[in-house]
Amino acid sequence: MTVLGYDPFLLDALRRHVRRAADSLATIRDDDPLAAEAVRVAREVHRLLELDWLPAISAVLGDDPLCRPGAIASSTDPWAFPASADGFAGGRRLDDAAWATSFDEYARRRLELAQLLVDDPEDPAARRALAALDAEIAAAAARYTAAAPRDGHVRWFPTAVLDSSPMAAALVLRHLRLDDRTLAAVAALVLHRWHDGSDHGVRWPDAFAGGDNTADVLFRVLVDRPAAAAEFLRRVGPDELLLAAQFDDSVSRLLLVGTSPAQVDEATAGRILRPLLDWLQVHGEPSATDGATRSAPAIVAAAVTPWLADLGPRAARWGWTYDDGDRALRWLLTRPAARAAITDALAARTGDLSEAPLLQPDGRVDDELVRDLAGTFAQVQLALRDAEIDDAEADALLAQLALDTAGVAISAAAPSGPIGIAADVGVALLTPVAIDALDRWGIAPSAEGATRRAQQSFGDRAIDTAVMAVTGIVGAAVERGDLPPDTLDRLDLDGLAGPGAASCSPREVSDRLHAFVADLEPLTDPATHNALLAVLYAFANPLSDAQLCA
Amino acid sequence: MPLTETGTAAALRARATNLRRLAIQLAERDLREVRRRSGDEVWRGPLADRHRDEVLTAQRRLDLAVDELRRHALVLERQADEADLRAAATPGVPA
Repeated sequence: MTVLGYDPFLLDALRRHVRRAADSLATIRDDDPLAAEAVRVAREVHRLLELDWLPAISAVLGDDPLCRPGAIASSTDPWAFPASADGFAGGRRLDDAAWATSFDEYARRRLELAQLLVDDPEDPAARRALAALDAEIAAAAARYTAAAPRDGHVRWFPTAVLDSSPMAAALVLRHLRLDDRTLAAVAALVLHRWHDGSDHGVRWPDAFAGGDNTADVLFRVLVDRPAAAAEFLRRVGPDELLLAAQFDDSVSRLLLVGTSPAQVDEATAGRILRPLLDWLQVHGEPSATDGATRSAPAIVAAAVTPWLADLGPRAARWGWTYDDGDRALRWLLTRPAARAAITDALAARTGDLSEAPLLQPDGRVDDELVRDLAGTFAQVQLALRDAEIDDAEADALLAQLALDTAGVAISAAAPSGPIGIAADVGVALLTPVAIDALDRWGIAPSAEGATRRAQQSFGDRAIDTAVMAVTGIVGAAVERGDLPPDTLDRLDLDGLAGPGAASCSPREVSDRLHAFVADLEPLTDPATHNALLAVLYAFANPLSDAQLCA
Repeated sequence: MPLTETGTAAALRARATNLRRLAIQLAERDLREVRRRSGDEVWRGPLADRHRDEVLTAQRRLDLAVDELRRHALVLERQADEADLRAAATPGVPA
C-alpha cells in the first residue's frame, strides 16, 4: 500500500524554503565564458524549483484534499492559517499592511514568470505556472474581499491596494467585486501612484520588466468593464494615459471602449477626447521609449471617428470652437497613421448606426443632424484637399465617410430592415438589392466595386453619398415589400456626361435623384420619403451642385 | 594596445578571483535546507519521492558546477603565475 500524507505546516515551511532557494538562484549571473556552464546549471535548477516544485507544493496546499475545510493556501497569504467562514482569522481582521505584503509577493513572482514568457512565449511550464499563480491571486483577492467590513453605509474601499505596489494592486483589482465608480477611482489612484514612482520617485520594477506593466494590466481590466473605463478616462490626464502602457493595444482598446457612442454621451466623449487632442497637438507624438503609446495619434483618431462632427459643425457641444475642432481634425488628417485609422474606424463602424437619430419620433427629419453630417463631410474634404493628401488615400477615406454617412440615413429610414450581405467590407446596412444597383454604377462598397470606384464615381463623393443613401433606403423598402422589386431600375444613372463635357456630371446625377425621389412619393411611407429628401437636401442640393460645377 | 605580460597576469588573476567569488555564491545557494525539510515527516507519496530525487540531483549538479568554477580559477591562477615568470625573464619589461 502506498502511504500518502503530509503535514500542512511543515509542507508550507518546505514551500518557503523552496521559494527562498529559487529566489537566490535567480540572482546568479556572470559574463565570464568559463562561468557559462555554472550559470546555466543555476538557471536550470531555478526553473525546476520555480516552475515545477513551487506550483506542485502550492497545489497540494491549495487543494488540501485531506484537511478541507480550513485549507492552507500559502504562507505569503495573510489567511495562511485556518480562517473561519466569515473571513476572519482567529477572530481578528488582518491589517492592510499584511495584505499588501501578500499582494506584493504575488506581483514579484508574476513579473518573474512574465519575463520567462518574454524570453520564450511558448514555454509550457511557464504558462502553467502563470495560470496557477493567477488562480492564487484570484483566490487571495476573494479572501480579501470576504474580509471587507459590511457594517456601515459607506461603500467599501479596498485600501490595502494603496499600500501595495501598483502592479500588485492592478493584478488584484480585477478580482475585487467593486462597482464601476469605485473600480475607476481605485484604478486612477493606482495609475497616479505608478507615475509618481516608489520612494524618492524611483520607477517601480514593472517599468523595466518584460510583458505587461501596471498600466497594461489596469487598462485590460477596465476594457472588460466599459462603464468603469469611461469613468476612469474622465479621471486621468492625457499624459497619464499616453505615457504609461508598454503595449499600444491596451491603450487603444481602453479608449475605444470608454468613448464608444454606445457607452458615453456626446458631452462625456468630449471631456475625454478633447484634452487628448489638445495634448497631442502641443506635445506631438510620444517618443519611442517604453511606457509611451507610440501610435497615440492613430489611437485617438480611431476613438474620435464616431464623433467627427464634434470637430466641426457640432464643436460647441464639446465646449470648443469650430476653429479649434478644425485645427485638431487637420492635425490628425496630416498624419498618415491617423488618416488610416479614421478610414478603418469608419469601415468598422458601418452597420452599427441604428441609433442615429436622423428622424425624430414624429417622423420628421432632424434638420440639424443632416446639416451636421453634410458639414462634416465637406470639412473633411476641404482638410484633405488643403493637406494635399494623395488622391487614392483621400478617396479611400472619403469613400468610407460617404458610406458611413449614407448608413446613417439608411439605418434611420429602415432601422429594422433586412441586413445586407456584403461581408467582404462589413457593410451590414445595404440590402442585396441595393448592392446590386450600386455595383452596376461602380460605387458599390464591394471588393470588386472598390477597384473601379475611382474611375466610375459620379464626380464627387458627396454625390456618391447621396446615391448610396438613396439606393440603400429604397433597397431596404423593396426588401420589406413596401416598394415593387423593380423600383431601383427607375433610377437611371447611365449615359452621364463624362469629364470635360459641357454639362456637369454631379448636377446631372443630382437632377436624376430628385426626379426619382419625386416619382416615388406616392408609393412610399412618410418616414422613408423624409429620409430620402434629407439625403438630397444634404448632399445633392442646388448650391452644392453649383459649387461642384462652377 | 597589447597587454604586457604583467597586465595579462593581472587580468587572469582578476578572472580567477571572480570565478572563486561566483563559486562561493553558488555554494551558499545550496539545496540542503530544502532537502532537510522534505523528509517523510513532511510529506509522503510518489510526488514527495520525486521531489526528493530531483532536489538531490539538482544539488549534485550545483556541487559539480561549484567544483568546476574552482578548477577554472585554479587554471587561470597557474596561467597568471606562468605569465609572471615570462615577464621576469624578458629584459626591459618590468616584473
